[in-house]
Amino acid sequence: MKVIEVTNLKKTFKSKKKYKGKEMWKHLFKKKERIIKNAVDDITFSVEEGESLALIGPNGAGKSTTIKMLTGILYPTSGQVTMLGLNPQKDRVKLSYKIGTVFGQKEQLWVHLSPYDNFLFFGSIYDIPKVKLKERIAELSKLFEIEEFINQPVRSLSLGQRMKCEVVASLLHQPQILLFDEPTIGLDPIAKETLRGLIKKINRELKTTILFTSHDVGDIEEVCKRVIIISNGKIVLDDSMRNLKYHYLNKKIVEVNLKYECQLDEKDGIKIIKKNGTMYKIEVDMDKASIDELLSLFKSEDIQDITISSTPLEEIIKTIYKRSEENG
Amino acid sequence: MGKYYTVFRTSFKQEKDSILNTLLRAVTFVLICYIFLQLWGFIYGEGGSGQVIKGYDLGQMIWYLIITELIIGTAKTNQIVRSISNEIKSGSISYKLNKPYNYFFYSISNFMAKSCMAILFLLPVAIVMGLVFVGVPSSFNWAQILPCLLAIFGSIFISWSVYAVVGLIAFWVQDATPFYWIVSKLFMLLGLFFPVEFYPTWLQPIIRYSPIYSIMSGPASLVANFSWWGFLEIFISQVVWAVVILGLGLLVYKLGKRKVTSNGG
Repeated sequence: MKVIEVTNLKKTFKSKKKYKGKEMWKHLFKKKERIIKNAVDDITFSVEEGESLALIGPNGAGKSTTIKMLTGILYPTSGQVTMLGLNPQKDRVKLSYKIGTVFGQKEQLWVHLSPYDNFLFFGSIYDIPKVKLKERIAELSKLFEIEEFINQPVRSLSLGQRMKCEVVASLLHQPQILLFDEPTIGLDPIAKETLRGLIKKINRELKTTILFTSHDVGDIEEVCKRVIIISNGKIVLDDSMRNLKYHYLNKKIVEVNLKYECQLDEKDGIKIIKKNGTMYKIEVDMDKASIDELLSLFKSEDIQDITISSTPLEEIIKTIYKRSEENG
Repeated sequence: MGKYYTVFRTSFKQEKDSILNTLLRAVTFVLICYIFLQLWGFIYGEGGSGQVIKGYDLGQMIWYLIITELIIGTAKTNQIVRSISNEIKSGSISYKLNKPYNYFFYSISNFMAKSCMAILFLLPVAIVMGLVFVGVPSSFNWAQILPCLLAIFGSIFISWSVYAVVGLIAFWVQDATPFYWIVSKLFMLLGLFFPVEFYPTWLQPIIRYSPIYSIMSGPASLVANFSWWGFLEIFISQVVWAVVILGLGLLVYKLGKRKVTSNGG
């Protein structure tokens, strides 16, 4: 059963052009030129019940605008959105009982209160009967391991602990769909990993449909089974995570800082992209070589620092465009 | 209604952490009232206690000022305008629009809680100050306490509602602050310093039928010069204005929320 259906969705933002210096005086009493930005440009997709879908793209791609139209916050310029059979703009309040949202850039918790008091607040907002609410809080606290700090003021919690509480607050009313808008932004690697695990757990154990946005490919590799890549408001790829990994995420970028400058020879699958003194930026094609093979080229005691990352999203998008051009 | 009571209760709990701010507000409140006491003492002359200006003796005048200052000091209305205006302009309003409540009522409930926390401190200070400076108002009787408190709470509620509507103007303009200035200065000029009777005859009916009377002059005059007829008049005026302003607020919010622009995450 389809729970999200998006058809030819468009959102245009209009703003007045800002003038500087002499230009500003010239245009003081004139009608200002309008700048039109297509934040979301004719996108169509649907999501099945229980699916975990990632909507990824660089900053300004239109991911958050799409999420806000799905929740009924923003009104589309044209096109249609149906969430659980409802029109988000017309039935915003009705829909809010059936979906949950977690925004990485904005916390919804009251910071001077404890997570427990916050959960009581959200429970009441979502009209959950008191007895049922207390049972639900107990159940989710155990599942997400927040019992230890549930009575501490939110302001005294770490970012990772806060994010766990944000997720619990969004799950209290048992939403059928949970929308995450860049939830890992600003989190350290450990907190990121914990959150990714949580999202997987929600999808697997609570059978909640997940829609996840991020501009970090690493975020979605283990969380989602399907990926939509969005760039300049358009969908450039809608495919399974397995295919994306096979075609585009088979390369890793390894940045190594050595104690001494040394001679490093390229080999099949290992390519030096950049060298700056003792700093090496190396691309490893995981189909041909492995990180272990690369590391065997150095003496472990010579390595000062090492960072392994996935191919930047911008590179993947470039490759997708290049391939589609090649295929005509 | 239950939801908005929850918002009120939660905001009230959170306010407990800013008691120091409220205490500092009480110091400012005492200073302002003291300055007005000196000013009116001078206007009423040395034998001020016997003199009556436009139906008000010095004691009643000071009580009038204490109550209007209490209302202004309790309902820090610039906060709600700034908060709503900033949320609309920055787009952060979108994070509240996805919850099953009405943002306009949510804002009023949230700020009413701040006022209630403030009034817990400022009301006793106001009463002690009035009693120490000028004693009980000449028309005082114990039965007036409850109606006066009702009128004061009513005035704070309408005050937040008016300024919440002013904040919502930010859906259409860059900044709602100039509108706040206009409204707040009108309230100040036509209600804060003088009772209605002090204004020219042609202006008095305009003030009486405006929200200024429900928010400022009405409750303050009631404390200074209580009568049951006066209470009824203020009560009706507050109910009518509450309905009108809430209705207007809902309409403005309904039209404005289509204009939310929120780029980025």
